[in-house]
Amino acid sequence: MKIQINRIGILAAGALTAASQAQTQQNPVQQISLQPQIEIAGSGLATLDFGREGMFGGRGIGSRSQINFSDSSLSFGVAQRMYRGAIGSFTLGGIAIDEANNGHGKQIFMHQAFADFQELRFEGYIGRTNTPTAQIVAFPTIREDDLVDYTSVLNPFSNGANPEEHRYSNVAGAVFNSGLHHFVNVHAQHQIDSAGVGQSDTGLNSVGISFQYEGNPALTTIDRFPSFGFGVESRAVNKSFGGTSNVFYGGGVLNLQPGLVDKLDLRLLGQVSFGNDTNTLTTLNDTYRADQESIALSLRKLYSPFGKPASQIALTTGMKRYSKVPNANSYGVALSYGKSLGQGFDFVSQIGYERRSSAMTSAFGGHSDAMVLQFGLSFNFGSTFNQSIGPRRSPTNLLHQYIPN
Amino acid sequence: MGKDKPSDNNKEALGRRELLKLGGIGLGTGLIGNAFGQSGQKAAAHQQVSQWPGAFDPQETHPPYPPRDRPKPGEKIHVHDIEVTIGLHEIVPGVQTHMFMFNKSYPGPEIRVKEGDWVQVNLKNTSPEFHTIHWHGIMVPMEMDGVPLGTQWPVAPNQEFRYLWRAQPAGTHFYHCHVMTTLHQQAGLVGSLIVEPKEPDIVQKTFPYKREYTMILSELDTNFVRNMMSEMVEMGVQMERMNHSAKMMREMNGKMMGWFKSKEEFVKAVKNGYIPPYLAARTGTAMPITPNYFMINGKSYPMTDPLMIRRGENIRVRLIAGGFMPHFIHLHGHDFWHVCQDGSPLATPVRMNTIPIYPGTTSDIVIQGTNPGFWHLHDHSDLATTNNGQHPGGMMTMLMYEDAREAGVKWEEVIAISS
Repeated sequence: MKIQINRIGILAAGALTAASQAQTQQNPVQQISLQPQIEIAGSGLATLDFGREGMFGGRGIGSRSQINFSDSSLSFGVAQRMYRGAIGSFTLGGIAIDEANNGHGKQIFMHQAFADFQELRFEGYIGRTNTPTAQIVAFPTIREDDLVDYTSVLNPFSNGANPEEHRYSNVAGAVFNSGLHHFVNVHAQHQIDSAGVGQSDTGLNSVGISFQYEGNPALTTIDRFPSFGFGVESRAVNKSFGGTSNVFYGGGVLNLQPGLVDKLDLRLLGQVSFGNDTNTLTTLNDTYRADQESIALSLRKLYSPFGKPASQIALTTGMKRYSKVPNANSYGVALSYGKSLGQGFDFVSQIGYERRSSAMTSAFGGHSDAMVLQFGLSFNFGSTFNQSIGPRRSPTNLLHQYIPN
Repeated sequence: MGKDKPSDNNKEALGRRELLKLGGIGLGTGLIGNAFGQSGQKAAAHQQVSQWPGAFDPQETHPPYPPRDRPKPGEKIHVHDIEVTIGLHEIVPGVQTHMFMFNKSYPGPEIRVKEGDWVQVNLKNTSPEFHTIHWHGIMVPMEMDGVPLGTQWPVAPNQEFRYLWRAQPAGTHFYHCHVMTTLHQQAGLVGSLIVEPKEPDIVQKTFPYKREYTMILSELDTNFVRNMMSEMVEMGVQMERMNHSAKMMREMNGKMMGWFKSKEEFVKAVKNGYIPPYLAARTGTAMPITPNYFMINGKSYPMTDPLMIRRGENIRVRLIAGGFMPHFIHLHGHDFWHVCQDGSPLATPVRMNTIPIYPGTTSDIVIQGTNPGFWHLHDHSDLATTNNGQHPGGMMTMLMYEDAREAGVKWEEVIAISS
């Protein structure tokens, strides 16, 4: 949970540092020492969990309680202005995952490793980063993959051991924008195929297009509709596993009570997937690729005395049904609370419950319901060194003439 | 000089007690004399402790005209319209930055009036931030001094404010926004203000000149300006939207802006959850300001404008420290005369080749065309002769003789050799 709204955006690279040049192949264009802007951003999140039973997308099945530091991440980015005003960047980062079933406990998952080129109207990026389907709306649960069955467009190739596979993938994307407000993202992906249900192991197994509207960041708490979007994705699941799984998805944020001090907002994500013929749910992967309709809703109250976020409470719910599997449906709910103890440093707590119908229990180790109570601390930070570039969508750039600095 | 100026006899009438009262001030004045008055220094050494150099008039700092006067029927009023906007400014090719601007220029337009004239400035704010104008060095009535929440309410977006004051004293001054000066003045809201003396100009009489130049010296941290302007614009955009919501108008009060009527109110707010910006900067970090561009009239070398001169000519240069750093302006191949400080003529001109200019001060110098050629004029604090850390650049320009060729300077050969 990030109470602080202004989380740093990793801009990334353009040129490699001397140290990294020594370890990687030579820059094919020019090899000189550079002083790019360097950004370090991190999120430390540690909770004490009680009563986990296959909660939140099957993660941690079999564990009743644990000390959980998944979703902690550290990212490093370098960015530099290009010769004619564009910005080039490179970002590298890892995130702690909760893979309790493999016997090794926590592991680090590389969730960011991408190069990015951006100018006023165009952005192109290649590498491992957030899957475009995960960028439409973020939910205010403690971890971004809590209630992942409803709050994310699921990866039909995942085996379920690592929920990060629903949020991150290998992407080649081209983003065109109008006024830095309306974005069209055309992309091809290799979604991580841990279940082995794709056409090949490393090929492009997913293509899609999405549209997103982003309002002025200065008015995130004031605009009635600060952001919304929708998209379509076609995923090439092998025929022997039911065939192609397509999905339509759409969502956004609605400020029910806009305000600088007291704000109430509603987040929504709806999705319909179709085309796959899976009709029984015996593994977690079955639940990701089978035809389904789901909706996630979250109501969040943010309190910001004197204009600074101090606390928030959110109720997030999700519901799902499978259209080709009889009596297969589920729902989940999470009540989350966060209180700021300092800049970027929050106390967090959450109670979650998830219920699944009988047709789903075999995929979840026989558990029809699960509940978890969590307490913990989170620290989100970002620091910039050698600063020379500002945010692309700063209020100044949006309201006045854009300059690439 | 002015109509209310006391006669010279007044200083002779000063008693010993008054002189002793002035002793503390006299110490400071004496130090300035050491710095700026070579001949005065010599004279002082031979005089009694209780005596001042002959030119000293203790009432010389009095306003020539009562500041709280109002214009009388028939008196001419010079009207200037100044609009504050946000725009793009190019410091050197390839380096643009968003700036606040007076009349879409940086620095703002020069205001030049005669001493004793009435000046009306209609400030129109079409930027999303609050602004005022402070008339630096002018003896205005308090209500016209432009200190936000001190002498006036800051001028809000889409509001106008009318300043009215009498131009006094004569000399080189400047004006700048006084709202969050660290940002607003650095981000462009500064301009020169020249009050020409009503009486014949002593500088003109001593060093007859036809050409004069104004050089506003300033510096800029592009990262600070970008980050803080963005934050301020964000707040301004929110306030504009606030105008359409009674709920938000109640929420976004002065306390949210960090405005408190008293220390007690501030302390109480902190107890109730207000987090002061020094504990939690709006930008997330509170990095010290590190300027990376140093400018003369808004431009860094090589885009600065040269000073033109001819053999035998005097030119007057008005140096205005419109930034927050001291600068040490050095002219190659010449000595020059320091003639005025903060607008007022010195007791005697001072011969120099490097003059310190401290923030908020103005210094007038006279350069004499005595050494034909093309000469560097630059800040000798070398950090300021860089552009983003790269030399040459920054606060540097040239003194160029238009008749250098006639004087035998074969500059083509110099360039050819250098190239």
